[in-house]
This record gives sequence, structure tokens and C-alpha cells, in this order.
Amino acid sequence: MDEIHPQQVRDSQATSNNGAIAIKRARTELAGPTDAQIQRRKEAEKEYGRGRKIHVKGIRDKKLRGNLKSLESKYKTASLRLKDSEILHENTSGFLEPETSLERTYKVRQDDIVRDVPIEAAKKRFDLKLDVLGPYVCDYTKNGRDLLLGGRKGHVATMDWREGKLGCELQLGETVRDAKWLHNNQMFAVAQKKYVYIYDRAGVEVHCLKKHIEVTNMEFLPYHYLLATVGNPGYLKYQDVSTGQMVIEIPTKLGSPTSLTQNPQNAILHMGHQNGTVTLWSPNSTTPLVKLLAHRGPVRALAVDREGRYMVSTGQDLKMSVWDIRMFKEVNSYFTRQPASSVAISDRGLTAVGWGTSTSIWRGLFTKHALEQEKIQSPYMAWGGEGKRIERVRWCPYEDLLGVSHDQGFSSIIVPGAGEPNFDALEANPYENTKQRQEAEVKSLLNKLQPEMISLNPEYIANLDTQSAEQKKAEKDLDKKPNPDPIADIKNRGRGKNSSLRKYLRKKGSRNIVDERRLKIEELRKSQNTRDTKKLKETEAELGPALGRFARK
Amino acid sequence: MPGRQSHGAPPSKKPKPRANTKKRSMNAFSIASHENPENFKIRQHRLGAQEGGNRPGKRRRDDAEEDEEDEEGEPKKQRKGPAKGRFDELDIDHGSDSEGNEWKLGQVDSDDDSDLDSDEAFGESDEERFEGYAFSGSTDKKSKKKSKSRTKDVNLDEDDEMSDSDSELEEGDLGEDAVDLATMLDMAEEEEEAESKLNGKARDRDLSESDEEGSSESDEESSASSADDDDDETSDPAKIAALQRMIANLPQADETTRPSKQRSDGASEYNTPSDFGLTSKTKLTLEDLGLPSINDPHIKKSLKFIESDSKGTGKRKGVTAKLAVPLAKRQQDRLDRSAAYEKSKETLDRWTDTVKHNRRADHLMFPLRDHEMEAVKKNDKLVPTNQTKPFNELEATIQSILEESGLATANGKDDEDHLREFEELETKKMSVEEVKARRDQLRMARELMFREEAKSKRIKKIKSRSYRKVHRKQREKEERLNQEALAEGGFVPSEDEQEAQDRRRATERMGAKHRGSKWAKATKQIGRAAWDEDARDGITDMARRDEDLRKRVEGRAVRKEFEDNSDASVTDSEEDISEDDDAAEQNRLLRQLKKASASELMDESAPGARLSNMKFMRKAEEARKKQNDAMVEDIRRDLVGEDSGSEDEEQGDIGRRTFGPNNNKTLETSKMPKLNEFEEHEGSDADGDNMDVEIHGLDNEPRNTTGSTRKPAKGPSKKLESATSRNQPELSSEGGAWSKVPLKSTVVSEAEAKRRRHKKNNAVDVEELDLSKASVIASKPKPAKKSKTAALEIDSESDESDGENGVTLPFAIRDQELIKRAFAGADVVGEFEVEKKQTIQDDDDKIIDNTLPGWGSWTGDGVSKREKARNKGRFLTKVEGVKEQNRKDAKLDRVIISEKRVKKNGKYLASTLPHPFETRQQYERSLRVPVGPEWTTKETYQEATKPRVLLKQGIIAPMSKPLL
Repeated sequence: MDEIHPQQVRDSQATSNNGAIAIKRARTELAGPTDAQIQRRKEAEKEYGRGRKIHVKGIRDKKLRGNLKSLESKYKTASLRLKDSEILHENTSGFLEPETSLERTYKVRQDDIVRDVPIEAAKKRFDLKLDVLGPYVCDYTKNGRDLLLGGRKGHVATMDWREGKLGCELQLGETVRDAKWLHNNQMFAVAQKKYVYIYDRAGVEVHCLKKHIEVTNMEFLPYHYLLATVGNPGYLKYQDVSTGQMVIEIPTKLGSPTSLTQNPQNAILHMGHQNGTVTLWSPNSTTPLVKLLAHRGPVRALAVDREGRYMVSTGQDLKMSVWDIRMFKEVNSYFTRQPASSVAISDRGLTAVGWGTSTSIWRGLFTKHALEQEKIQSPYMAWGGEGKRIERVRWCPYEDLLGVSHDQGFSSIIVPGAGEPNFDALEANPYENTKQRQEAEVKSLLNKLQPEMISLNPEYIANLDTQSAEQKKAEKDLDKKPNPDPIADIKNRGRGKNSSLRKYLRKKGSRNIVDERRLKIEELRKSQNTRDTKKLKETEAELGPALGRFARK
Repeated sequence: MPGRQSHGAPPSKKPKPRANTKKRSMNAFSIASHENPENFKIRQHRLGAQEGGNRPGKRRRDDAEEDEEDEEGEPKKQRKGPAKGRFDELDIDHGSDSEGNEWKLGQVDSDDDSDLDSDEAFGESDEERFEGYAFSGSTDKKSKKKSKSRTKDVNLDEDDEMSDSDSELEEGDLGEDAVDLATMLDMAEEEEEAESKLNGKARDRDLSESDEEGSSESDEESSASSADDDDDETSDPAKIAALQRMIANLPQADETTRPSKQRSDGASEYNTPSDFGLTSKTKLTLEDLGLPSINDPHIKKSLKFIESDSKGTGKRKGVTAKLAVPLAKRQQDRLDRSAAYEKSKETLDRWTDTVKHNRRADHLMFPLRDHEMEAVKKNDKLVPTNQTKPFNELEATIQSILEESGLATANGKDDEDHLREFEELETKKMSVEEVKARRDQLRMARELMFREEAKSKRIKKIKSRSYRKVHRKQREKEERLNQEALAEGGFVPSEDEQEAQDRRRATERMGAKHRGSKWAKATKQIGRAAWDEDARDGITDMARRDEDLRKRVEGRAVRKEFEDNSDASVTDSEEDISEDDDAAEQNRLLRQLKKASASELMDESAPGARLSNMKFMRKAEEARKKQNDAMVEDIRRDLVGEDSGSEDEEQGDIGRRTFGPNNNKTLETSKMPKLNEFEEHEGSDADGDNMDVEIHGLDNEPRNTTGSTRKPAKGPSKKLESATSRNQPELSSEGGAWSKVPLKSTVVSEAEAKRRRHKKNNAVDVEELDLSKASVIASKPKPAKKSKTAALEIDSESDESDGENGVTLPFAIRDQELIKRAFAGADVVGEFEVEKKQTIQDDDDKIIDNTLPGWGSWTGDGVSKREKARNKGRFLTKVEGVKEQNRKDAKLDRVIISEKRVKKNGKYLASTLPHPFETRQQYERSLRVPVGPEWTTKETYQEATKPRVLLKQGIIAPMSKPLL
């Protein structure tokens, strides 16, 4: 009976509540992640993940296994946290959306937009009429606050476009081919008729880079502080603007280039040539890393997206092709009705193409998560057709603005959804004050990357060298002399104005660089001096006070 | 003379202490298990103080019965409270020993001890004894009796002489320790007495007093006897000296070996080696122990009593209870040590988890967090207000108002809850069957109800549909009439009006009934299409119309994904198909025909496939198929014949009409039928691209919409063939700048183009600049040619809008043509090919001839060519390079990727795999996430950069207990 009893009890329970026993407090912590969590994890992984996981289970070493396991979980939480922190993005981006399927966004005119947007946003649409000294080239600073305009006929101006405040205005009196901001709004470089000049914020000429001759295109690599120029002779030159040293001069051997742009992800330069090829350059090799045939005619303009995944090039052959530059495959190719003179890709992946007198803006030319890229049938927006020949289009960072410089001046047009709505003040702060700018400058100088770090795969740093021992051996230069002592072969001529040490210092000791070598030399010189004076005194004493004055110094 | 008596007493009670010691030795493990090195020290410390109180037994008794005896004097009363606590603590102490916080309690005790006077005579040796007490004390009184009887049993088999000698030996042996033994004996005796009620007989006053105490609670009364002993010692200095001498002889007389010493005495009887240098044969007398003789009659008596008692009991109970031979001291020590070690190990083991945890911890913060403190600090008791009841007056009023207005019910339950409760109660009363039946009934009712509801809904829908249909027709009719009237009246609708009307019509058509319509949804949901022929037809119709409409609107092929999620509409009623849909209708028919004619063997996997694939079945099938085919052919012929004349218009109808120089039909005066503007002329030229499309379209028409718009009756394939054949010689003859030189490559590229086209399913094809085409174009420029490209599309649309860009489509196309010719001068592709080949060669393996001319052979003039050739490749070295198939750009024909190693980058590479890692992947993975604040959230960044050990202000105290 005792055995049966609980059974009965259970039966009675079953009848009363349909066999299901209500759980007062469900233990959810032991249950696996819910679908939503998994979904979230996947999203985070997709967006912020750092590559594929490694299999931890196969590792025999317990400690290593434990460490790597914790590492993986750390990575996971890191990506999840990044995903979660999206909640802090206070601004969202949005595009023009057609209400009906018959509506076309490219028919929307700037007037309509200006009418509909808030006043503050509408103010950002402006035109500068500079029809005498054009065509103009334009450039925004990294934080999008300042604008640099360079007219072909020598007119250079900087301005804080938001406030409409002119920074400086120069009439250089010679051809200006390109103008570029350096790391912040304090300095800019202008490629003039013969040399490249660097001016400061007030328009004072700071440097004349005489080694950069007849430069047509310039690029500035902000993280490496490198100014890269290429001119009619076809020499690609990298100059470190923080130390002033020329890093390398590379002959491209492909004649005068037609376009130049940088890949913001890995600081590789893409150069377009007359024969339709695009070459990829780093300051570490004298030959192009990659050479690809993009067009049949000269490559007119190039642009690389922010993530360094896609390149858009336009050529004289009326084509615009989209390349996947990680696989080096052409994704799509489109027609332009005239050779496009300039291309720019915004932070959110809009592509502005300036051709003839009009500009068209394409959306979704590439989508990074799509397996097969879609061919877009119509542009997102269009502007122009008013007889202004487009010279250059540039996106204003962190704004829904496209700066179009043309032969009649400059126009800033509103393109909804173009800019990154949320800025990262550690990266670039559009609202920075002087102090912040200064601090950011110092910080970026401290964090400056070396030119040797430029590579197609920027994550290669500290990876394992897979070169085999044989290769290493083969590469080793057996004839290389063991680091010679620079002072050893200085002649032992100790006296006079032309003493060997003084001469050496004069010739080779760079004046403002105090390093070990210099200290060594100076010490040597000092000891030489004391020795000399001592000797002199001795001889003077020997000769006596009367004849001492004739002692040879 | 209490000491005396105590001395006298032991011999008689010899077996008892033996038993006691024995007992202790037997449960050495348990002793050890409750003590550990730290324990010893603390206990000792404390006991020293207790000695001052000098009567643990007394104290215990006090605990038990709250005696009023004040013989012990004032300390007793004072001690009373603390003593209690002491003993409690003693037990607790043991317990807490196991938890590892012994010393804490010890400290507390030491404070208490200060008010007790200490007794040096007891010393450390007592500690152990006391331990024994503690145990027996800890065992409650019920078990006491048992143990007593046991000791008795044990005593019985002891020999008298042996016990005598033992006692003598002990007394002689152990100076201070003798106290111990004596106490034991005493105690045993007292116990005995308690049992045998021999209280008054063999006691003098002092002893009896202690006896009383002992008998009262009959615990181990060691303290009483020890006190006696102390008296004894102090009274007889000469004896003490002798004892001390004796002790000096003992190799180790420390308290830890104390119990085993006694045991070893016992062991000596059995010839086991003793530590004392005494052979087992030597008989110890009281004289040996420095006690000349026992004069005290009491003691003698007690001795005798012990003898007799032991003998008597021995006779009574037989030999079974013979004591096991005590182990030799060394062995016992070893056992003790191992037990103690085990115990201490266990204690220490409790820390391992904590230590491990702390060692492995990513971060440690000192001072360590104290759980107890935290528990105190933690304040989570602010919540518990009763939420059902109003907390204050305001809430009460609000609640009452709510209740009055019926927004809330009393005590937080609404009517629903009440109902449910009631129902539950009801069901509890009912039997199972009843409940079941009731539930079924309910279910049925619900089912019926909803069935009816669904039905009525459907009927309503049908009704409203027909109603609306009728009304719309009426409206349309009216409108038409209106317009006609207007037209008659000479009032032509303005362009705007017209457009508006058109627009309205379009939106109506799109918006009325479509994929998202109720009907479509419903059919989809029920899966009606599976069994309902009508519904199926409707769905296919819908899909077709969707496509057609879309085509009409956009004038191009529809993308698949667009189709999927579009809410663009398709009408489902016949009225919506206007007359101008005829062309589409025909297309559809044709397609259906095609489908019908294309029916093949049944899939093997389908049910009944085997049967249907059998021979006779197939025969029949074939016959039927033939029939069908004939029919299809007939229909098709009919269709084609019907529309062959009006082809152009029809094609123009489909898609958006474009206007421009190229669109006029004057160009198409030739026989070549005009096609959709997005299509190529079939026979216009040998545009391989379009040929592909054409073929493609014929292959699977439904896939390629451009193909589907074409009339299949023209037999384009033949034309194509002829066209290609016409083109081939031209290709070879013409080596344009755009061409690759060899003919083969053009074929390859064509194939390539075709393949690519296949890859992109429904999207409009990318215009390929096919080289072969280019050459042809270069050779014989044709009048404007059309190609279907995105640009054209845009153009056409922008043209339609307002032609703001000024450049019309045909010009652009002409531009294409011009451009192709313009760049004909430079053979860019060819050059690139050559360059690539060159680089491949350069990077490839190289064979270097190291043969020196003249080395081992003749050189110079007069050496025959054959000789030279023979000496040529004698010393060859192979330099490894990158093979062509291993190149990164092996499959990329328009890319050259440099295979050279970038030496400067090597500076930042790790030369060897760092230690703990086993593979490269592991190592590189460990570097994968950057630490800096720019790439991660602040939290992650701080976690990653937090130092391992953090020191905060405060006292870093050792952990009081394991954290885990």
C-alpha cells in the first residue's frame, strides 16, 4: 500500500491540472541561449567579428586550451558588446525612399530636398560661384569641417564651410593641379606648376618640396603621415611630413598617371594609367603589388570604399567598373555617357560619379554581405546638367553632403544617407575645439604608423613569417658589411677649422638630431680640444712668456 | 594527602586506565582526525590556562548539574559562564578545525584564559589527555555508559601482576606525566566505583570528595586526580627529582608521544622493544618508581580491589575480550603521523580550489573581499512592500476610487480570476470522466462556432466582391460615356488629365488585387492550390500578370528578388485584363504550349514513376505526346500566323515606348524585324553577345525575359548560325586593336562570356566588351546598334522624364561604337597578356646553366657547334620560383599579382612560433582583436588592460577560510 500511495497522489494531481505540473520558477539560466540571443550573436559576429574561430578542443595542452578558450569567449563578448553599444548611436541614416514603384529617387531635385529638410540642414546646401579661376579641385579635412579649394589658375582658398568663414585665400599665380589637406586643418599641400608647396592655415608657405616635380596627383596617408605624389614623369614619391624625410621614390615606368587614390583600409595607393591598367603601390616595393586591367582607355578616376573591399574606376572608354579588390575580380561594369572625371565613395557606400556636366550618385553598387553583387539599374540621385563641367566630387565626412567642384566654382549638394551619422571622437571629431585638435594631433603622432607597415593585408603585423629557412638563407646578403663604425674612418686631423670631426659634423651630422652618434662625436671633439689646449699650454710654458705667444696653435 | 591517595588508587584501578589509554590508542585516528598541528598548539595554549582552573572535570560537572559545592573556591563560580562556553567552544573548536579557523577561536579563548590561573605542572602533556576528554565529552551521556561497560570488559583480561608492574612503572617513569596516568587511573576507579557503589569504602576525605564529583557525572575525572597528583609532587621533592631523572633518560617525552608511551609499556609485556630501554621482563615495583611501599591501607585496598575485580571480571566474561597487543611506539607514531598527515592534508585540500582559482584568476584585488563583510553590507531588504495592499493613504484612496469605478477589483483579482477560480473548484469536485466529457463538449462547440464564422466570412467576401465588381463596371461605363460625350463636344482632355488618368489606371491595376491580397493570402494559407484547380489557375494567372504588368511598367526583365518581396500588384479578375494585354496573353499561351510540349520522362523519384516509365506505358505516353505535340504545333502556327503581320507593333507595345532618332521605323525598312529596344537585331550583325542571349532565350524561355518576348517562330537559330559562319572569316581577317591576336582566344572569351551570362540569372546582362565583337565592329561599322545595358535603361528613363541631360539614347550608343573604334589604336589587352606572360615566366622556376666555357672542354675558335652544344647544359641548377598554377592570379585573367616577397614588411613578422602555441592559427588568432580603445568598447578595453593584481587601500589580511 505504501508503494501505491504516492502513485495515487500523482494521479489525482494529474487529473486536476491536466498532467502538467506548473513550475513555480523556471530555471532559465541552465537552458541554452534563445533564438533571439543566437540571432544577436550571429549579427554581432557578422558585423564586428574578427575572423573565424579556431578549434579549441583539439588542443592537447590544457593550459593553452584554457587560455584560448577564454580568449574566444572574450572575443565573443567583445563583439557582443560592440553590438550592444550600437544603442549609443544616437543618429540614424536614411535614404530617399520612393513611395510608389513609379517614383524615382533620381528625379528628386536639390530644391525639393532643401525645401523639405530642416533649416539647419538646408543651410548646408550652397554654391560658390568662382567662374574665373576654375576649374577647381576640392578636399575636405578628415573630420569634414574644413574645405580646401584649388583653382587651376592659381586660386587657393580654405574655409570652414559650416560657418562660411574663410580661412585663407591665396593667389599663387601659377597652375594648381591638386590641393590636399594634411593631417588636420592646420596645413595643406598644393601641387603647383613645378613643385609641391605646403602652406599653413594662414596661407603662409611653410615648405617647398623640391623633390616633387610637376605633380599631378597627391594623396595623404593620415595614419602614416605620408604625402604621396605622382607627377608627369611617373615617379611615385612618398614623403613623411612629420619628419620631412623622403621615404621612397618609385619609378612607375607607366608614364604620366591619370588618377590616384588611396585605399583607406590598408593605405595602398591605387594609380590609374593611360593604358587602362590600375596599379597598386606600397612604399615597400618598387614594383606594383597588383596590376589589373580595368579599362580599355585611360583610367580617369578611382575610388575605394571605406572598408577597402571595393574599388570603382571610370575610364575614358565610357565605362565604370566595380572591382572587388580583395579577390581582384570585376564585380560589375556600367556605362557612363561621358568619361567620368571623378568618383568618390561615401562612408555609407554611395558612389558619386562626376561626368561631363552632371553628377550621378549610385547606391548599392556593392553590398558587402551579398554573395552575388546586383547590377543596379538606375542611380540613386543626380545633379547637374547646368553647364558646369565637373572637376572633382568629394564626400563630406559625417555629413550627407557631396562637394562638387567644377569650372564655375563649388557646389555642396545634399545627398540623404551619404554620411556616417555617428562619429567616433577618437577617430575624427567634427566638433572639436582647439585643445582637442592639438591633443588629437599629438596622439596621432604618437600612434603614427611606420611606412614599412603598409601592406596589402594590414593585419599582417606580428604574424608568423612563413618563409622557409632556405629562402631566408638565400635572401641573406653575404657580402653585407657588419655595421661599420662611422667615426672609425675619420681622419685624425685634430686642429683648425677643418678638423675632421668638425667637418664630419658639418657634413653629416644633421643639425637638429641629437643621437648617439652625434654625442659620441661631440665628446671626441671635446677631448681633442682639451688635449690641444693642454699641449699648447705646455709649449707656451716651455718657450717662456716672451716667446710663448709664438707657440703654434 | 590527596596525592598519596591518588597514587594509591592507580595500582588497584590499573586496568581502567589501561582501557582508557587503550581506547584512546584505538581511536587514535579519530583523535588525529580532530586535531592538526595548529590545533595542538592552540589547545596547549588554552589548556595551560585551564589547568589554572585545574578542574576540567569539575567544570563539566558544573555544567551538568550546577552544583553548589564551593570547594574549588571562587574561580569556579567565576568560571561558570565562560567554562560553559569553553566546552562548547571546545566542541565547536573541533568542528571549526575542520573548517580551518581554529586559531581564531583559540585567540578568543586565550583572552578568557587570562582570568584563570595557569598550572605549570600540567603542562603540554595534558593537552592530549584533554583531547580525549573532549571526545568523550563530546559524545553524549548515553554513549558514556556503553563506553564504560566496554572499558570494563577490556579490563577483565589484564593480568594482575602486569597491571601492577605497569602502574608502578608508570608511576616511576613519568614525572609530570605520571599525573596523567594517575588521573586516568583515578578516573577509571571512580567510574568503577560509580558502578559498583563502592564509594565510601576506599576513600579518604579528599578523594571521596572528588569521587562524589566523579560519580555524580562519572565523566573522566582526571582533573581531580591530577590535582591530587600535583599535591603529591609538590609534597615530595625527592621523588620529583627522581622522576625528573627518569624523564631525562627518556628519549622523547613530549606530549605527542604520550599516549603511545603507555601503550608501549603494555607492549613490553609481549617482548616488543620499548623506548625506555627497559626490557619487558623487568618487573617494576613501586620501589622502582621511587615509592618505597604503599603504606596507605586505602591504596592497598584499592589495588587489591583492582586485582580482584579484574580477575573476577575476567573469570566472568572469559578470554574473548583480550586486548589486542598495542603497537610499538614507533609504529603507532607512524600511524598517528600518517593519520595526522591525512587529516592535515584534508584540511589543506580544502584550500586547493581557492588557491587554484586565485592563481588562474585574470585579476586579483587586494584586500580580498570578505564574504561575511559583504553579506553584512549587502542591503537587499528594501523591497518587501506589499503590493496588493495600498501602502499609504493616498494609495488607499486611489484604490478605493478605482474599485468604485470598476477599474480595479478588491484584493487585486478581477472577475476573470474569480471565474477561473470558481471553475477550478468545480472541476475539482467533478470526476475525471465528467471533466473530460465537458471539455470535449466545449471543444466541439468552439469548433462549430468557428466553422460557421469562417464560412460566413467567406460568403461575405464573395458577396462583396461581386458587389464591387458590378459597381466598378458601372462606374467605368459612366466614365467612358462621359469622356465620349466630352470628346464629341470637342473637348479633348489635356495632357495632364490624360496622364493623371493613366496613372490612376496603372495604380488601380497594380493595387487592386495582387500578391498581398486577401484572396492570395488565403489560398496560400490553406494550400488551396494543391487541390483546387480553380485556385491554382488563379495563382498562375496572378503570377503571370504580375510579371507582365511589371514588364509593362518597367519595360524590362524582372529581377527575382524584387519579385519576391514586392507588394506590387496583379489583378485577378478578368475585368482588369485590358485588351492591350493580348500580346502578353499570346506570350503566355506560347509559353504554356512550350511547357506542355516539353514534358519529359517522369522523374524517377515521383510516386508511380516506375510504372509510368515502363515500356508499354511509355509507348502509350508517346503516342499521346505525339498527338499533343501536333496539337501544340497547330496552335502555335495559328498564333504565329496570326501575329506575324503585326509583330512590330506588338513588340513595341511591350515595355516602355521610347522616342528618339533610333526609334523611328524608317531605319527598319529592311526585312529585319524590329525588336524591343532592349534587344539586339537578330541578323543585324554578328554580335556574339546577342547570339548568346538568343540561344539562351530559346533554351529556357521563362528564365530569360528578353528571350521570352521574342517570337519563337522566326527560327532564329538558323539565322544565327549563318551569321556566325559569316562572321568567322571576318574575325580572322580583321586584327583590330581590341582583338586578341589568336582566333582561339576569341572563341574562348565568347564561351567565357556565355558562361558568365548563365551565371547571372535574371538580371540584365552586363555588357561585355567582347574582343571578337570589337574586331568585327571595327571592320564594318554599322548604323546605330542597340545593346541592352543599364546605361541605356537610365537614358531611356531620363529621356522620358524630361530629357534634361540632353543626350539621347542612340547617341550614347553611337558613342559606344565610336569609343570602341577610338581605342582601337592601342592593343591594351594584348599588351597586358604579354606582360602577364612575361611575369609568369620571370617568377617561374628557373634553370641556370653553370657550365663554364672551357672548363673540362675546349673553347674558343675552331670548336665545332656540336662540341659546343654538348658542353652546354652540363651543370644545371634549378631555382625554385612560383609555378604558374600556384600563382595568386592564376585564375584572374586581367590581374597580375606580384609574387615577390616584400622584404620591408618582414621586419614586423614573428620569426618563430611563440612558445605556448601549437599552430600558426592559434598564435595569429590570439592577436586578432586589438586592445586599443578605438576598436572595442570601453568595458572591453578596460578589462583587457586591467592589471592582474590590484591593490586597494586597506589591510591585506590572510584569508580566514577558503573562498570556494
